[in-house]
Amino acid sequence: MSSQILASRVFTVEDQQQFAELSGDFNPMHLDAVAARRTPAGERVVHGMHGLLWSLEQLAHITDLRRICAINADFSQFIYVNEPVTLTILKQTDQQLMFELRVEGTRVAATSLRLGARAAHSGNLVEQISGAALAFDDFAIDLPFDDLARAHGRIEYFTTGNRISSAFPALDDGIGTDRITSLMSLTRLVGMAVPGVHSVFHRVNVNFVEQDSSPGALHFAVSSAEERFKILNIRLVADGLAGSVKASMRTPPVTQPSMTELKALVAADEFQGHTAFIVGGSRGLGELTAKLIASGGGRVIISYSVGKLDADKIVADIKLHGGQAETLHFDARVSPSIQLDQLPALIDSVYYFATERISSRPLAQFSFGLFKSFADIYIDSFNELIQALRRRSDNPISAFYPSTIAILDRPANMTEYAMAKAAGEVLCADLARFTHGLAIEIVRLPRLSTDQTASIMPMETHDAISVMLPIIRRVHSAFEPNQNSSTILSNAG
Amino acid sequence: MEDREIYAALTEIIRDVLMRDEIVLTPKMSAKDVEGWDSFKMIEIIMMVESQFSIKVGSRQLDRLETVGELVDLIRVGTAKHSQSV
Repeated sequence: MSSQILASRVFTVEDQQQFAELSGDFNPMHLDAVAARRTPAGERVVHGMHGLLWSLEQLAHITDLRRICAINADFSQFIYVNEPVTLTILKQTDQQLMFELRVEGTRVAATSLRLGARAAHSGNLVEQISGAALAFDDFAIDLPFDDLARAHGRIEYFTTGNRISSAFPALDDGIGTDRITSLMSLTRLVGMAVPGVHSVFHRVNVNFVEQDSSPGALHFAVSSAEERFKILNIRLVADGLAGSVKASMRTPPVTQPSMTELKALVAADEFQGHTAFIVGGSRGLGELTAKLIASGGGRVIISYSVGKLDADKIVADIKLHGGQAETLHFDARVSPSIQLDQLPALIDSVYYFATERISSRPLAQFSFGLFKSFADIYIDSFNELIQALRRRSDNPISAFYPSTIAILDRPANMTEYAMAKAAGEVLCADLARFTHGLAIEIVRLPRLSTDQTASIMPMETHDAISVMLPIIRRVHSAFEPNQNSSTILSNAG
Repeated sequence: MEDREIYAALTEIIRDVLMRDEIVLTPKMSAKDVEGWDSFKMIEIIMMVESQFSIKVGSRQLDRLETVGELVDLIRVGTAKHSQSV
C-alpha cells in the first residue's frame, strides 16, 4: 500500500503538562523553556512516548488494537512544542502495521507493531531484574554514567486507573489500562531516573504478555552501557509487557569559567572606561564575553530574552568580584528602539549573540521559512539594533558580529543558517563602510563548546576563551589611533 | 567471512536501526542516500556491528567511514583478525 496520512496535530504546552502529570516524567526539557534551551534540543520537546501513545490511539480507526502483541518504536528526532505533526501509515498487513510521525516532511519517529497472539507470560524476568524501589519525587535524577551503567531497581507507577483510560479511551479498550500505565512508566524511567535529567529516549522494544503475574511496578536493569557514546540499553518488565529501551545521556549544559578563573587571564584595567552591551549575555559565549570584559574593569549590560535567572547569576558573580554589571530584558525579535530606552548607560561596544535555535534536523528540502527566521535575527534585528544605537548617540560604537565557519565548511542540514550568516557579513561590511563612527568585527567562529554545539558524537571544539579574548581586545581598541579599518572579517581557531 | 554473508547481516542491522524494510545495500551507498541515516544512527549501526561481528571500530575509523562498501571492508578485515586471534 502507499503511504496514507491518518491524522495530524500539534502538541501544545498544556498537552505537555498534562502528559507529564499522567506519566510522571517532569524532565525539564519537556516543560521548562529556560532549561530546555540549554539542552541539545534548544527548546521544549514532546515526550517521545506521548507521540507513540497518541499514534496508537489514532490507529483504532484502521485496526483492531487488541491484536497488538509487540511494539518497536524509534524516536529519531525531537518533536518541538507547537509544530504540526502528521501520522502516516507505511505498511499494513495481517501481521504487521508500520507507521511514522513526520514534521515538515522529515521523519521524527517510526514504529512497527506486530499483530497476532500475545506471549503467554514474561517468564521469570521479574525475579531476574527486580530490585529496590528508586526514590525520587518530581526532580529528575542526575547520576554519573558509571553509576547509571550498573543501575537496576523498581519504579512505582505514577498514575493508574481512570485518568489513564480517559486520556486514551480507544487504546484502553485495545490493550488495557495496565499496559498503557506500563508504557507511560518507561518515559518516567528514562526522563527521571535512568539516565535521568540529561537523558534522550531513543527506542522502545516491548512484547505484550498475558498477565499471569502482576509485577505491580516497572522493574528494570541496565543490560549494556556504551561509555563512548553514553548509550544505555535497559531490560524491563512491567504489567502486561516485557522488553527493553534504549536511551542516551546527553551532554549537560556547558558551564562557563567563573570570574575567579577569568580574572587571572585579563589585566585588571584592560577594559576600564568601556561600557559593553552584550546581547544574549545570559549564557554561552555571551556570558563568557561579559565576564572577560568585567574582569578587565569594563562595565557590562547583559541582555536576556527568557533567561533572567541565568543573567542575574552572572551579574551577581561579577559584582561579587568587584565588577560592574547590570541586566536588561531585550528581545531581538522586537523593535529595539523602545527596549533601548531602558539601557542604563551610553555604550561604546555591542556584542551580538542573539540567535535562533540551530537545529540539525534534516529537512526534506530548503526551507525559506527557516532561512527567514535566521535572517530576522542575524540581519534585520542586528541592523535595527545598530541604527537605534546610532540614533541614541554620536559617540563611536564598536560591534562584534559572530559569524560562522559553517559558511565555508557547509555541514549537513545547516544551509539556511549559513546563508543567513553570510548575508549578515555583507550587511556588517556595508554598515561599517557607510556609517560614520561605526566599526564591526566579523569573525567566523569555529565550533566552540556551548549548549548550542552539544552533541552525542564526540566532536572537537575550540577553547572559547582563546577565541573570544583576542576578539574582545580588538573590539575595544577599534577606535584607537593606530586602527584604520572599520570592518575586519576573520576566521578564528 | 564472505562478503555475501556480511551484506546479509548488515542489511538486517541497518533495516532494524533505520526501521526501513525496503533498504537494499550497495557498496557505494552512503548515509546521505537514506533519509534518517544521521550521526546517531551511524553510532547505533556501529554498536550493533561490533556486537554481532565481535570487532571494535575505532573513532578514527568511524570518522572516515563514507560508504557501505567501506564498512563491509572494515568488517571483513576485523573478523579475519578476530578469527586469527581465537
